[in-house]
Amino acid sequence: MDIVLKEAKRFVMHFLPLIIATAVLLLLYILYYNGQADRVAENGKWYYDSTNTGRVYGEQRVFDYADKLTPDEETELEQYIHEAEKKTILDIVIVTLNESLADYEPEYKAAYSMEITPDRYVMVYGDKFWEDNGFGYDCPQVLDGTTDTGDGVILVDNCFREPETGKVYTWLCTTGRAEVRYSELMIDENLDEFYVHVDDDYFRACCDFVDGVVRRMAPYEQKLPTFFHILPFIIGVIILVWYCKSDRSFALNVKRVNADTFMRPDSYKVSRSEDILIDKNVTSTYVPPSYSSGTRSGGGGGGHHISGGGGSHGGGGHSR
Amino acid sequence: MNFQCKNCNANMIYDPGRKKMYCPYCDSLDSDVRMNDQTADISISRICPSCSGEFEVTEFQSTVQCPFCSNYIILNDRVSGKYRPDNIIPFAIPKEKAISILEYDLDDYLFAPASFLSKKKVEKMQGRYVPYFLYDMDAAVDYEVNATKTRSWSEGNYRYTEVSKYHLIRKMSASYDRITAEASDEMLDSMTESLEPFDFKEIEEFNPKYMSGFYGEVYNQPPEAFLDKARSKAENSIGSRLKASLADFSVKDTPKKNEITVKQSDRKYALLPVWHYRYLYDYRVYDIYVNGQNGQTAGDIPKSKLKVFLYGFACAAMWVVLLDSLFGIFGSLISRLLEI
Repeated sequence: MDIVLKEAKRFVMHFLPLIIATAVLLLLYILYYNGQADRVAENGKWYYDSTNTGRVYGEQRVFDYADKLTPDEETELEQYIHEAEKKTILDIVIVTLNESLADYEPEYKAAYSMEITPDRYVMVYGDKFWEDNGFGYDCPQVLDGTTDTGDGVILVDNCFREPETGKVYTWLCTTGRAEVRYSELMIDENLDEFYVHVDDDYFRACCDFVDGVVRRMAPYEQKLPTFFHILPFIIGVIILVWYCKSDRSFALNVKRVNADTFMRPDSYKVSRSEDILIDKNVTSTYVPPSYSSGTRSGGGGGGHHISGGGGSHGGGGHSR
Repeated sequence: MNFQCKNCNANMIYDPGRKKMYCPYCDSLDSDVRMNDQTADISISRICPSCSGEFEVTEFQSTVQCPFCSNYIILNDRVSGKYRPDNIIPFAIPKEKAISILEYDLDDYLFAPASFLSKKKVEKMQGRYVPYFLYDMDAAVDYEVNATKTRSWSEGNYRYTEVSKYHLIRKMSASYDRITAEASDEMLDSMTESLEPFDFKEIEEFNPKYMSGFYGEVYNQPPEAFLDKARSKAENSIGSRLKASLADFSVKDTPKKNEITVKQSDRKYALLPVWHYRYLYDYRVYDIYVNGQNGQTAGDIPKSKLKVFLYGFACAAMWVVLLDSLFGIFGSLISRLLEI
């Protein structure tokens, strides 16, 4: 019994840092998991019912003012978005227009700190549409300039060619959790996905856009690559094999004597040590000066701005 | 011969802790009387001078324990004449301390079987005097070679390289005291080198009483057989000094002169103290040694396959839980980083 206790003590002492780290992380994970208790697990995925009761249009998410979709496609897209919202916990809104926005809400437009160029008319429309109609999965956006409320995205595609530029503009506006999450690159990619079929199959383009939102915004359980789920087990197997394959026995042998161990103190004598120079040869090589090129810094956020109504939004646009 | 207590006639042994002769029966100290000091028998079969029991000795044993009365007997013919040692380093570490040293060292070896240092087994640890030859040597080097030295530097837009060719002459010498050559075939050289160095400040003239209570062995081969082993140690030492003196140069030419001479100036035969613990595990013998003078350890420690598996499994399981928790908590961050 003494041996068992002694071995158990050695085991604990040997793995103490690992045991503590594992216990702490496990505890944190349990707390994290329980912290999401209000998010009911549905089909193994994180989800909670939207608590926003202030939407002007209720459950409608597709506003096809440009008539780009058939009534059946609109219904189907509404259903598609409804499913996507369960996965992303976001409001996903799609608006199609076919009108000039050059004169749209001049007072609202004037409140922006940036210059509103034709490519940003759709941004202004999207911001205002979002705020006025009380969208946001968690609650209508509180217009205090923070990114805490009004979780969701809105895609505004204006098929009208603005006379100033002759282009059609599209804007993806992000709010709340989506604004925090979406980088400029992610916005660009999501719009690119929308543009792939925008001219030949508008319904498909809208679905591609929604799929892109799901891919980027769904909780990690759905998006973390499979590799990360099997990685711990691979590492576990490697550790086990490494333990079992290690040498059968330990060598307690450490050589402590060296060549000089036995040398009598002060007996080492150098009676002659001469370095006689025979020949010397110097060569030179021309080294051309190097020129360094400047580095380009890139990056930036996900198009953050404060709307004319005072709400914080992210976003970015494309044109065709 | 053996040593008897003049108070109780029991067998007296040398006690490393007290550094005195000790009677385990009446606790007397230094009350030893040397008995049966005659040289005579040289056969394999011997008679115990205490109990007259007959037993056999191996070719190189010099001290044995009588299998009948457990008295330690020092074989006269194995500690006299050509086998008489010049010197001895007495045991300074008692058995209990040697065991505690092993137990302390074993803390680093998790997978040693649980019974490896069990009281019952480790009690069988034996003190042994191992035969050594100690050589005094003088070494000298006479060396000449052509070598180059290269240095580079930059000035303006030019890189300069200077190659200087030298003729190097080195003459050096050194003396060595008590280069050890272990003279027992039973112990591996790697083991004895791990037990060294001994502190020869504590070496004494040979006195057989230090052998009472321990096992002993005579040299297994004549001194000439170990001379090369000692000579190579001196050559390596002076050779490394020569190499260090050439470190700044690139030597590619064949030396014009390369004479390393090593001469033996003296030689002693000595007995040095070692604790020996033999452990049988998984059909294999494991020998572990503790230097009887300073407590340095050498040997092979077995691994328990069961312990290795249990530790490996536990470690793997903890890593699985740890990583799973980590990915669970930071999964969204990881997936975001992957997208970036």
